[in-house]
Amino acid sequence: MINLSAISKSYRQGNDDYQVLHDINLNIQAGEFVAIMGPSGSGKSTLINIIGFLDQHFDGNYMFNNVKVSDLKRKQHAQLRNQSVGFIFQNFKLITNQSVGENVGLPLLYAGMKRRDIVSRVTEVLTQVGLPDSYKKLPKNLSGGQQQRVAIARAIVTAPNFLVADEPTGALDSATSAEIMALFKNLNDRGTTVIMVTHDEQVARQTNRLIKILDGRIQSDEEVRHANT
Amino acid sequence: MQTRELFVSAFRSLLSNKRRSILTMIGIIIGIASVITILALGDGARVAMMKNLQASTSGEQSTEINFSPKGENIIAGFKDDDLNRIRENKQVTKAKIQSDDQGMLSARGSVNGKNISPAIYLSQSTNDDHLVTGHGISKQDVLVSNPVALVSQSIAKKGYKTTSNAINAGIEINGTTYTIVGIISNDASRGSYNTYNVVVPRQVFEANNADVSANTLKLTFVAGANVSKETQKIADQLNSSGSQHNAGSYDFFDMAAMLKGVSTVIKGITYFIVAVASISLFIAGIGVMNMMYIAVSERTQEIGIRMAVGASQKQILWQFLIEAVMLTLSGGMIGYLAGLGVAMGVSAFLPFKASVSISTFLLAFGTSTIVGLVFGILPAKTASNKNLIDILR
Ligand SMILES: Nc1ncnc2c1ncn2[C@@H]1O[C@H](COP(=O)(O)OP(=O)(O)O)[C@@H](O)[C@H]1O
Ligand SMILES: [Mg+2]
Repeated sequence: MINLSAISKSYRQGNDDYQVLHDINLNIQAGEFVAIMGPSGSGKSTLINIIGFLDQHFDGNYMFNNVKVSDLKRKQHAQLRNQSVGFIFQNFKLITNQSVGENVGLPLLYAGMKRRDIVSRVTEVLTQVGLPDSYKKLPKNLSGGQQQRVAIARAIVTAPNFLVADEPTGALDSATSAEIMALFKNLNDRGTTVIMVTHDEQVARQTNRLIKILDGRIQSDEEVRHANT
Repeated sequence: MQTRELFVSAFRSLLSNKRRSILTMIGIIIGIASVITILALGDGARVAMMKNLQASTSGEQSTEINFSPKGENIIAGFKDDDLNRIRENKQVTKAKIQSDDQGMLSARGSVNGKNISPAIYLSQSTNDDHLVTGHGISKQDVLVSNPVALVSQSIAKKGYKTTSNAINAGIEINGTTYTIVGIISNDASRGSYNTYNVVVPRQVFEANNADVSANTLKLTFVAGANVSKETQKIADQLNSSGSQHNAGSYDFFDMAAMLKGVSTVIKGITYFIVAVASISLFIAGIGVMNMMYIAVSERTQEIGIRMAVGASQKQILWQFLIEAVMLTLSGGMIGYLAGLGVAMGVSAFLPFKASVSISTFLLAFGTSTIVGLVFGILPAKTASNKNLIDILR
């Protein structure tokens, strides 16, 4: 599904180009559950921003389901963000003055869906993430774990091809992290591809594939052995 | 995204910052309200003037030429020859001899041998307006064409010393003798300015005075004609070669020229106030721009989130542009209503009515929309050009 070959990325810092990613080659199949680990500043976010269509400016070739992503126009890029990927951030990124339901329904609005259909779909995914009665609540009245559930609901509401999560448990305590991880695991078991950046060895071990990054290069890429298999 | 949703979300953003929205709107409201007030009043004045110019709805205008004979001769000033010559003029659609529409005219006559030149009101039906003593013109008088007259107190006294002596005495007008049946007050008038001092039944008067009452020539012109110039030309020509140019004079009082002068002044005032209002709209527009820039920077995170879930640049642009237009348009509509209200209020103290026209509504609608678009586009561009990665870091 995702084929990265020779991906490089530089940021301009003052007068110099600072290269963050060096020649990344990576294939991810539909249905995988991937963790990306690495020290702070190693380029993890940069990489998944490219994978998740948030960043269009990179060198190399990114094929997504046989479409060359770098050839797409900005508008088509926006469409990919809307339809094909669900993005989950460390700090939730919910619109604070809109209700939970409206936040979750936002991608559907941009997909052109009618308001009535949106409400029923949103109610459905809120139930799926374990927040059945929160449609009318404001995000600030929810706990961090619940807010991240809302963000996950928003990510899955358009039934995208894959989810990208940048340190989704980074702002949560370990008990809540475990709940969120269980939710991701559940989604993956039902067939959703999940790509997740994390600092937490504990979290990474629950996935099926662990990619380690150091200084913008892939250091290792191996299957995760689970204790019970 | 559906267009309706753009409007809904723009409306809600404005509502969520009510105080700021209203303060920003005030400038637009004042600007539009003042333009509408002055236009409604100016329009009203213009409409009132057009009425005075006797322009018909199709744009035809008419004028009048009066013939006044020299001395005491009673003669008709317009003959068929004159009319035929005037009708050759392509600009003239109608040339008609008629008596005064108001039923008011001045005549010559005498009471008890003393000459008078009274203003006469020709009554179509029964009349006892301003009656002091005696009785008015009755149904019976009108029906059988009795030569009766009501005269003012001063005419009665001039002829017969006292008003009671005058009753049932005679008065001669344009050669016809009428019996005085009633006395009217000296300030008798029709409308506010047409004072008169003798009333006679119209039928009786016209039966005896066809010539005198027919000394007004009414001309109607094609739309767009320069009526003042044409009428003056016709009057000049009548004076040099008209059928009675030796027996009197043909006069044209150019109402149009006078009204045009007033109209020019009103137009000048209108333009001046519109210019002032435009400056206020411009400043209001800057206020809108400022508010939108603040909104964009406050809502950077929201913009980032919307883009991350699939909003295109164009959708972000429209979101903020619609917000700006909605703000100015609501201001414009409130201003329109306020302006109409003020104009109606003011025109209660003026001799003409403020006019409500669809064009001033469209002007208010259009102007406020344009202000929103012009001053909203830059902030909206700023919003839509934000770099997603930078916002979300
Ligand atoms: N928008 C940007 N402009 C300039 N430099 C950036 C930008 N984003 C990230 N960087 C730099 O690129 C490096 C990698 O950042 P990032 O991918 O966020 O690392 P990680 O997520 O692994 O902590 C860092 O040194 C960071 O300072
Ligand atoms: Mg990071």
